[in-house]
Amino acid sequence: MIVEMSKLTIAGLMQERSAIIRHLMKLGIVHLDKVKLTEQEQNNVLECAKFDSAEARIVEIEDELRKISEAISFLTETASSGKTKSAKRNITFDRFINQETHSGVWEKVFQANGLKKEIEQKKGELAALKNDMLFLKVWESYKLPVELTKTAATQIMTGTIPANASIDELLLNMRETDLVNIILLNSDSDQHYVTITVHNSVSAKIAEELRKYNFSPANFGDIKGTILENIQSVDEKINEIKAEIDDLSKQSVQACANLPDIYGLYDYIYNMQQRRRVLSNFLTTEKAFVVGGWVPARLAEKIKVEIENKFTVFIKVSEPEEGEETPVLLKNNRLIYPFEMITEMYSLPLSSGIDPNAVMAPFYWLFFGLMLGDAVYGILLTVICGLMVWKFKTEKGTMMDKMLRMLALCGISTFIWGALFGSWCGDLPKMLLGKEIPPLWFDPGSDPMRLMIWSFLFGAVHLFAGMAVNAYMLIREGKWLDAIFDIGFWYVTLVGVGLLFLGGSAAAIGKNMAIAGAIGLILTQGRKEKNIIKKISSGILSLYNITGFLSDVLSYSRLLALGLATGVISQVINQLGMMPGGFVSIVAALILIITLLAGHAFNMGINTLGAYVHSSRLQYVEFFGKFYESGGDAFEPLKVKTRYLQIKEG
Amino acid sequence: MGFVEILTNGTFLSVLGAVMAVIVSGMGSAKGVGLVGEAASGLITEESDRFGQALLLQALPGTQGIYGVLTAFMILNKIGLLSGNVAVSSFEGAALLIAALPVAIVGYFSAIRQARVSAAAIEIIAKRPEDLAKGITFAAMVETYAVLALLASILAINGLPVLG
Repeated sequence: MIVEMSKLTIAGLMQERSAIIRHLMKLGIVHLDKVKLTEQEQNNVLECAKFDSAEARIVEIEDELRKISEAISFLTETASSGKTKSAKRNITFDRFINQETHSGVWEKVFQANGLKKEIEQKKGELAALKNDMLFLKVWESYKLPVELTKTAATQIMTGTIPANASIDELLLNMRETDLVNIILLNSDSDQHYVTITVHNSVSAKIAEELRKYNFSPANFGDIKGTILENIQSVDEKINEIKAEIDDLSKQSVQACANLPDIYGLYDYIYNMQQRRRVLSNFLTTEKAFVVGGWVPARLAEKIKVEIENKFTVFIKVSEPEEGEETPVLLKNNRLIYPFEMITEMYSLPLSSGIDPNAVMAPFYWLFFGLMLGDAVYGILLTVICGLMVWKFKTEKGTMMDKMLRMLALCGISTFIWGALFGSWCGDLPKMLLGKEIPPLWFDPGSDPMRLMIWSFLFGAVHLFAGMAVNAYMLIREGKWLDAIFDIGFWYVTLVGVGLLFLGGSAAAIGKNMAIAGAIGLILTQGRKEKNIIKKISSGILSLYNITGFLSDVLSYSRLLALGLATGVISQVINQLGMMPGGFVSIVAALILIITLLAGHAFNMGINTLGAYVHSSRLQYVEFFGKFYESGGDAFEPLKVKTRYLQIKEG
Repeated sequence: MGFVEILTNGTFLSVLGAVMAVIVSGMGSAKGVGLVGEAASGLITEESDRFGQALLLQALPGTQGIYGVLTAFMILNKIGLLSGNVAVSSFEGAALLIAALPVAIVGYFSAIRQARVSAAAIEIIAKRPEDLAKGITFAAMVETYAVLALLASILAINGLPVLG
């Protein structure tokens, strides 16, 4: 059901505003909003007051949050090699909201980010040095200083020759004369590394010769001295930087101890931003402010007293005006509550409308189970989702909590339908043990038409329920006649047509009902028209809507199709697994087990998605189409939202 | 066995139906899943934490291919190919071939259309991740026709009397 809201108007002093906002945040139950003004009032008011805004500060905080997140992700990565993430730390609200609690934490954030930057920089340097090292290693056996290119009587040429040149031929040619000394220093898949010492008298000739072999002089850049010396110095530098990185890493590991504080700061700053976001609702002058708000009606007086006792404020509690939409908060019992998710995904109801969850949930539950329809999958779904709720301690009211709880509940329905249809991982018991678990009801695989009829029947009941809700809404507004004309007559007509299909003695009754209903519809559906001819023609035309109802019902055939799909895919998986022979050998048994695990996990996943999607669709299109008025705004009270901390009472 | 005899052989026709169901709907799903995958990859470069949501949307046009395999399996099962005793008349084979067509053809086109809706829904989760379900619902509207085609195929296969 939709929680009834009271409207608050709070007037107070600017000097206390910040404290008031913090207190409202602690209460976590007041949805702040602008005060409602007529255009005339607004013009008058805006001459002496203005709506506050903290846009610039919100953007700044966004940037601060990014910095903190960066520090957190750096430190968690560093720490993840060690211990696992601990549970959420408990903190009282008053301690959490106090700036003192978080003093000195920014330095820790800067330290972490500084460490991160420095390590990245050092790692970059290290990579560059390693590159240099690779280059030097290639020339390792070259013993002369690299800047030496000639002596008094010789030229020294050092360089490379492509690997595809015939180096043996070159070496042979060169060694023919005593005036050349060529040394093959090294070879790799790309090129040969050579140094050639040649007497000045033949240097030109040799240079010409070398050109034929695509000799290119080596570029040693700005290094000096022998290669070996350079290797040593680079090695030293590498060790130095490694030591520095080690040192920085140690510091980072130590800095991980700051994580809890930084977590706290993140949540603190995030909630500071939340408090800035509501500022735009405040109509302010230099000294005073007025802000509107919404609060669940039963809490209104309590809130008023509590805040008025603490601060110099005036709070007016009033009922919403006639026709005024309030923010929408849904409240349902534990079984219905998870299904609110489905409605929220569609759109919240108008506050003047109706919360469809109580009627929708049983159908959703039923349809989901029917489409997934496997006892083992049902058990798994319930156990897995139940465990996740328990393990993650999901917070009540969040999407995750609702979804997991809903799937856990739907697992029960899936189990029941699976047992009714005799589907336990498809026909797995028969395959493995040779013993079939007989269906409690019937096997849809061997008698699909029977399930199809039932699907249509479930669909018709679902649609009738939707129409009944519509009738309820009309009656609530005092429109008794509309309820009878628009829904009652349709009931009579549709049930009549249904009985006609059944045949036998029921058909006669059905025929009369259908005719009576249709006459009723013809007489009443044109009642909004003024002209008598139009009245009758639109009455007759309204009968055409029966096709819409028919196609709505046919849409429920997906219950059968998806239900069968799960079963048949299970059978395929089981047969595939058994192909090598089952438990005849270890290999065959392994194949069987792997096929079964992977196959059924896949089948369960894809069909759970299918069941979720198509049960939702049946609600959204077929069911909601009959009555639902959507478009409400969510009730979003100002409250503490934490990612890392757990606020405890007190 | 001559060419014409093969073409009118019941077993051949029904196996042809089975493979058509797999091939055609599988082609559609492959194309569709690929299409959404491309759109999703674009999103992941910006918002890597929406992987799960994007994957969900990518999985949607994949179901047609599964329906194809499902249909193929039902046909093969019907003619007893999996248990070893095949005896199908030409008429029965032809009927099974025809029965495979809804899944094959509707599966192909609906997978691609659904993929385009899903790819567009990637845009939704790029801007408003909380509205994922709306995107999924749009895509599911298209899937309806694949489901109906599957239903027609299943009922046809199931209803055909094969003496086998």
